Amino acid sequence: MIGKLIRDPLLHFVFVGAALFGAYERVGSPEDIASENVIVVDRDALLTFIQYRSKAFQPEAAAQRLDGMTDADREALIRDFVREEALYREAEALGMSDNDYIIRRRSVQKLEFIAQSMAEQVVAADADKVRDYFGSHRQDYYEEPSYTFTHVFLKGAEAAERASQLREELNERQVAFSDAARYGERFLYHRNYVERTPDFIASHFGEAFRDRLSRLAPDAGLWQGPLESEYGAHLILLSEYRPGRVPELVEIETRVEQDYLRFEQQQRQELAIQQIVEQYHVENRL
Amino acid sequence: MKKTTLSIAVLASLCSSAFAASGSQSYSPKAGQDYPQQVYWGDTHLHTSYSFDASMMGNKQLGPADAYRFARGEEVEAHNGMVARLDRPLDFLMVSDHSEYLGLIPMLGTGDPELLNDPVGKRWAVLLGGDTDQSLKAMFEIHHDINTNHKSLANAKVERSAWDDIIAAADRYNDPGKFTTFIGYEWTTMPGGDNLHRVVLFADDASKAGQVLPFSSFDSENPEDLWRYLQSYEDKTGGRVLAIPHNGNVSNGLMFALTDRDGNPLSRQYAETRSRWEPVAEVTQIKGDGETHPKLSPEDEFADFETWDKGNLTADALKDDSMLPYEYARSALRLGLQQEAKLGVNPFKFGMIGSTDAHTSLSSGEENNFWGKFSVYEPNPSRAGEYAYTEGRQGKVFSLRGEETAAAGYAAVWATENTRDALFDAMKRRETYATTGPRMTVRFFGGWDFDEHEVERPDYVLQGYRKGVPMGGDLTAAPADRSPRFMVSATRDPEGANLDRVQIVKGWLEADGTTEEKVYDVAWSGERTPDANGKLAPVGDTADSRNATWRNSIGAAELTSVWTDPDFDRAQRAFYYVRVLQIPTPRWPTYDEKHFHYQLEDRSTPEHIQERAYTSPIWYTPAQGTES
Repeated sequence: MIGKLIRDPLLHFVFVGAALFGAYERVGSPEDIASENVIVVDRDALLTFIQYRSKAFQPEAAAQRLDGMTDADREALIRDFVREEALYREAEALGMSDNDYIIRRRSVQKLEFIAQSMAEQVVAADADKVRDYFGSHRQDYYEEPSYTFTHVFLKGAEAAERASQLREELNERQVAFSDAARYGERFLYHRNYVERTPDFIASHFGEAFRDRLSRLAPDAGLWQGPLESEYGAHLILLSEYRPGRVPELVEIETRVEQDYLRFEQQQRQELAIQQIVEQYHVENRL
Repeated sequence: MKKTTLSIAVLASLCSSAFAASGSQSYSPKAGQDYPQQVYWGDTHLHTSYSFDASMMGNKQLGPADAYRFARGEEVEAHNGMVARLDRPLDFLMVSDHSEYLGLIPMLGTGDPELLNDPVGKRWAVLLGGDTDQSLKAMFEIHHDINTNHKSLANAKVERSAWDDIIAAADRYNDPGKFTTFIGYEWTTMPGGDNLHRVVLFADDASKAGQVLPFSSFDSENPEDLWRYLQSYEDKTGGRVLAIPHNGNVSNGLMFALTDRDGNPLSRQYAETRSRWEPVAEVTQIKGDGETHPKLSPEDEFADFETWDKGNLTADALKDDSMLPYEYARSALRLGLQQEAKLGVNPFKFGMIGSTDAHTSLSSGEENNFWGKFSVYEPNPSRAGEYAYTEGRQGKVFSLRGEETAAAGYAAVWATENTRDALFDAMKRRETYATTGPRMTVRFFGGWDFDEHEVERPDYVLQGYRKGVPMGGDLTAAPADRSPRFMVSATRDPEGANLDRVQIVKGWLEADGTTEEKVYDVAWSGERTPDANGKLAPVGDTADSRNATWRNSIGAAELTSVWTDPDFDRAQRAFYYVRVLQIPTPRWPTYDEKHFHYQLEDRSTPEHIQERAYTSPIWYTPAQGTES
């Protein structure tokens, strides 16, 4: 939320600021408008905040949402509110009411780093830092396990039995991946599955089939099965199974580097926002 | 020596014909099997914060890189603070930002001093800092610039750097075999607000696409000038490029007009050039569906689908019925047959794709995961009821409500691999189809020699390519006393709804120069029989609006047919394409109501829809001398 706000120096920044300001005029009692560096967090403020943020001005729905929040959600909401309020106050302190154009320019200058993320400039990243980043975000790069197989499909009465006989024939003739198309019957989805994940396979064959497939050992020269699916019986030539894994950095270096640069920009934004927020004292009246 | 070679060649050709006839095994296992085995899903029309209107309507933070990340399946934080993610990744994406004022608005946003020194730049910056009405005013001013081909703020530096950013992002995210990105942009010409937009798609990388700047409507409002630009690009770089027209439905009769921009009748040269550069058209997207219109196809009970027919793109002019024939795909395909008979070349020989035209950087064509046309319409409880245009305000002659936007569509491409070259080749040969969001698999072949049960064969696809042509192809030289046969196979989206029916839409040219169309039901679910008028009963409706769900207890997981045209006349030019209909499922505002616990008042759109796919046509052209 705050990331958005800060990256939105013109329209959004001023809009939200003005919205909050307007909200204060409507709902705030005089004592709520506290001294310049105190941010008051109370029920009214949060309800107003919720409504502006969801762009739905339904006090009852907002109250329902607030009351239904877990402690963690409420804390996150308060944190967002405080940040937004702090940034708005900062903007106002810079002279928004005098000349909103100046404030925009000043806000923009203050948040110059924004331009970098927007312009998508390619900046060379430090190799060590990229390696460190990879080390602490390895799970982001996890690749699902995958199967590569072809299948011969049979349906109707005694499909499994007929499939067992056909399996002998296929193995005897050593029918290869590319020649299998002439056997069996048409299957509604694909014939060949290349590097497909268990979820993908389950969406085509059902979950029971996926589990059965997981018990086969890959052998590019052996027709196995039949495995049953909700559609019929399948003879399988399972040529490859790749377990789930995190690739080596060298295989995905470009991607990790992009992610690292992105991460670093976000960190810098966070830091800048934190510095602004820290100038305020938060008074929680909940 | 020569003799031996020759006899081997003869022998080989005898063997290969014997092979084709009897199906006996070739010595080379993969002979003849280099056809496309997989359909790839993507979007060739997506805007990011680099487009003036996207940026003005709330897209402040999501640039091309975010668009690519989202499309390949990653989580992206949307402007409303929610995390957006696709149900399944796409296989390819092209970011196609408007070339007019490309990247300008974000640059204004950063307070680029050079731009703010310009009085127009300063004015827009101030308006953009105002409320929604003021931003809209700035957007309409830019619309006005584009409508009138007047560039009131020129800055070469901004244009170059924005284009370089877009190219760099595409090249960075292109991952051949896994995820393809295309470099491209949208040429946004709209004389008087009538939409003539084209998306421009390059097959090449930065080394070639970087040698040019995007062509904009400030350069010319005439599509023929765009085609000249495309030709000069290929001449200069040796690269490859094509253009994809879209939204004829808001062109007020211009998109498939029978005159050029100067009002002259189309020439043979126009027809050759247009069909050379525009092999596919985008026929379904957020701003309505463009297959056909109920007034153009009164016999077609499914014609009224996501219809946008109030007026032109910018709501400056109303529509009248005389414009409709020149706006919709089916009608344009018919006009194409007429023009071909007259000119010798078909100017409207296009295949079909769908795309989103979302301006949110989020390519989301699904009803239950729809992120809106603009970022201000990301999921929230008021978006369906808000008005984008209000009649009588800011010169608008009709109103347009959020609920009228369609959660559509995607491009399906039968290619040999997931690379720029292979996908581009497939678009050039029109081996593509459009869907309104779901990912149903559709095969379509036409030929003279398919047997009645061909589609039941496990290798029917191989037979389809051997004995016939796939979608986008041509049939000619009809054997005496034979009618063309079409083999079609449609499978539901593995994670979606069942199918209601498969139809073949035929259009043809009569001897008197008029055209006709007819829709044939060729496969359907359940035990339904067509009535006396040939109409099949509706499939039923399991969709539950209150819970925004449906059940696959009706419909079929797959439908197939080998269909012979019962009305074939070998002297008549014709086209055939497939339309696949799903069973009814909830439309996106119904999902909104469920998610946000509210009820949309004064709803004007249906609660449930039958999503669909449209394939590229197969054309039949009589051999010389046989035409009537």
